[in-house]
Amino acid sequence: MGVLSLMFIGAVNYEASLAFAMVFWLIGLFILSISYTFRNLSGLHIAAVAGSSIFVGEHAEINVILTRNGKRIYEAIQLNFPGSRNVVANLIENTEERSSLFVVANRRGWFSPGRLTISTIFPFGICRAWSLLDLDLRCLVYPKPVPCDLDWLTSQQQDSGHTNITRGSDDFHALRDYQRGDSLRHVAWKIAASGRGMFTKEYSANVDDKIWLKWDMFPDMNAEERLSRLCFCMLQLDAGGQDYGLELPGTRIEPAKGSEHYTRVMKALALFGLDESDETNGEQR
Amino acid sequence: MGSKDDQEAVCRHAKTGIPPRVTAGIEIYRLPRTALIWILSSLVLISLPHMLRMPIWLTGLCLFCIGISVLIFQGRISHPGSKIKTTVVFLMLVALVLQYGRDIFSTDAIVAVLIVGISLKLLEMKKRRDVMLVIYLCYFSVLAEFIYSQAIPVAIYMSFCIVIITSALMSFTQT
Repeated sequence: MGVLSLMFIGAVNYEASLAFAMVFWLIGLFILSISYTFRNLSGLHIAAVAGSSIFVGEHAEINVILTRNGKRIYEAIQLNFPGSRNVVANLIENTEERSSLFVVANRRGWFSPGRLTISTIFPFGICRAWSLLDLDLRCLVYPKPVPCDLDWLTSQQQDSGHTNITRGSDDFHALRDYQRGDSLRHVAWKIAASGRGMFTKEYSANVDDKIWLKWDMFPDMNAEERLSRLCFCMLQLDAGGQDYGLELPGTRIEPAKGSEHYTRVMKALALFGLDESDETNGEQR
Repeated sequence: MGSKDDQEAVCRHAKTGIPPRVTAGIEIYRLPRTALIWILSSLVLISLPHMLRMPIWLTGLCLFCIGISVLIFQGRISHPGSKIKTTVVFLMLVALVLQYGRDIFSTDAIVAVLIVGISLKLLEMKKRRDVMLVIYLCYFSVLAEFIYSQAIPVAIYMSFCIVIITSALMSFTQT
């Protein structure tokens, strides 16, 4: 507007009628751009999905899906969350556009990325149409894994009298002939590799392989540090295919394995000490 | 639901001690390619009628700046630093004073300043605001042309220029 008034003063000063015409034409353009910019945003359907669970410090992925009805095209629509980069979406030939936004999660527990800003300056860059959307998005943020000496911790546990059989002899005890249908993970590959045939390691009778991850395993640390180390141990054990249980003050999860168990334990770690009502809310959604 | 691969990746990171984090860089404004073409062509079109009245070195400056801005866009050279910019602006002021002498407040001199301004601003298109300013100055120089002549051919030519400048305005909002 400042530019337009300067131009108008110029036109008045030099009494050039064509200059007047141009200034008025530009004013018309300005007024038109208001409605054009508005049209570039109105009638859009927006859906958003929060991505998979992440660890503290990582970027949470949020998928935003823009859909249009009818033939009108939408260009240069900018999407961003507080703290994320701008993502530009176009709906010209496609009727649906999916874009991914990334926001850093700095705290464990339920993470909500804040309000989505959807804005556009198309077509003239003079006006900006924008809207803030409070989307119902949540994703679970796990504690950040911090390395620690897992072997030492588990050996401590074995010494403290939970089991009476050491693990080395246990493997030997439980070997039996391989049968079709046995899990490949349980095959004694070392023996198979030395050419002595296929054997399966039996785990059914022993309690030794079940490792308890305990809150008390890390003395002299605060809650977050303990959770981070527990998370690391858990990841290691899960990758190793071992059974593990979790014992936190007020929470106890029996040893098991598998992705369902993994999610359960991780959720317990992520939400430990946080508001319980928060958790139930999250489950309803 | 964390997949197996994810967990392993995190484990690996946990071992090396480097967090699996992508640091967000500084967001740099990138002028769309088409926008640069539109802006440069509108500058050439609007300065053509002015050039007939201007000293020849101004045409040279204009072409030089267009060349440099293309090189900057291609990434071959970086944006000039503040020392170079100050020196160039000072040199241009001296050149304009030498050229116009006492007539420094005449219409000719003001239009020359306008052209110099647009040309030098081309070297500094770092933000959206800078681009907008270049385009507004282009509109201004159309206005300046009407001060000299309002003949029908000029009017037709200038309406063509306005269309081009408006296209430039539109193109830089697109991606």
